[in-house]
Amino acid sequence: MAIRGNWMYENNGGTCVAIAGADYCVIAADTRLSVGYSIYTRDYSKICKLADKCVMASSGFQGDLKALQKNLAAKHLIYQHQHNKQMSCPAMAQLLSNTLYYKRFFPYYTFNILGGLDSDGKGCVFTYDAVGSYERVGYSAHGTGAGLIIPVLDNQLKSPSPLLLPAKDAVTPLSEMEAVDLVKDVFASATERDIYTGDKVEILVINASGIRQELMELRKD
Amino acid sequence: MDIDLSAPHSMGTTIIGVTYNGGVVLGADSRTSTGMYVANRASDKITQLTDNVYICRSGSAADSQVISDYVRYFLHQHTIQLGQPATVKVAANLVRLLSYQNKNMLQMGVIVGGWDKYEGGQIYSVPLGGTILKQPFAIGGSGSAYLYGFFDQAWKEGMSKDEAEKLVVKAVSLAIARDGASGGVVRTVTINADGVTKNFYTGDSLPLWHEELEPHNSLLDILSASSSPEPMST
Repeated sequence: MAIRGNWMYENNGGTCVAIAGADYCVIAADTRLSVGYSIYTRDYSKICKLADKCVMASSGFQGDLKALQKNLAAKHLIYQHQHNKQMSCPAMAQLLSNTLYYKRFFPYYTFNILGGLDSDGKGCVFTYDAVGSYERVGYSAHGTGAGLIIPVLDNQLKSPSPLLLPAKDAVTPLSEMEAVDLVKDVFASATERDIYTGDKVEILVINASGIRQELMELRKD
Repeated sequence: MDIDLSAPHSMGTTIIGVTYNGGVVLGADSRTSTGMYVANRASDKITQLTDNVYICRSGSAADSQVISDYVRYFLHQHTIQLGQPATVKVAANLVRLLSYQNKNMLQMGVIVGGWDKYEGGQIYSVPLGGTILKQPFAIGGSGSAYLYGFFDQAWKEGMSKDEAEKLVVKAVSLAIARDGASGGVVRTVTINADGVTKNFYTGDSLPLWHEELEPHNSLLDILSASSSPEPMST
């Protein structure tokens, strides 16, 4: 890793997206790992299954991401020993926030999205910054292609406006198939315009029956 | 991307707290920016600490969220031990203690407001550094720079609830018009002896200020209305 002075981070590029529906959650991330103008590998997973109904996707510095994933998996294992059950998605969301804020002065350079089903079986997505500020939302995107994708999701998801009061649940009324198609479309478009996004997109769909995985080819240039 | 999407979220913001005859009105915009990208256009910066005390947050989103969580936790214990609702002064001082003792590491400016049976409606300002200052009204965030003169002229003692709310909404909308880091909707929280009321005002319901354009769904509306091919000419 090229260390100029004492700069200890690197941005490996890539984009991740998550969409929450009434009874499902779609999480996706591309599989390209880059450094500068080089591609290190076309086949790298940025998604990690943290619990039965809870999946995390992240972009940023993959070295820190690996460390963060291991850290969370270890804490989850301890939780399971102590409580004899898996962590719920909202519980994992708070754990991730605390873990990130713990390193407030030497942060994990990761931009995370947590997706899954809450205890009522409804889709939930939590979005984070690098130091742990978080919020439950209906959909989110992070990474080099996020600026290209979010405006399209704002427009296409037909979610109730987050500006309303009383706050309406932000999940999209779209069906699972429509949401997955939309995710494929936004990744295809982001691949055209973002040099760091491409190769393949790994799409995970979490619903009552479990977790389903799909890989879609993207442009490799 | 020219803009840095990876900066930590900071709320370039406008936050306001105003006392009136009987309670307080807290107001804020809804924009959270990371650098020049709007990370959240619909944030709720007015967070609950107890049933009767709320806090307006500005600065680093993570720092102010974590401090609010700690203070909510301490106040919850305090309420149990005290046997009655916590006072606004205690809530504000807990925020101040955490802010001052960690001043080297935190970056947040907040306004704590609420109502209790001893002192009625109160507003406490806790800016960067951890000063605590009780004020009849307080403004904070990047957008507040544009409001000092406005409040000098428009503020008066002993307003009614409606006057206070109108003042807060007008002020936030003026700041949104001039401050790029403030935007979205105006959220208000009114706290008094009867409880808490939350409101929000969408961008198109706010008055237009100097040289602002009317909100339109599409520029084509302007085109068809005027016969001129120049959409922006009056």
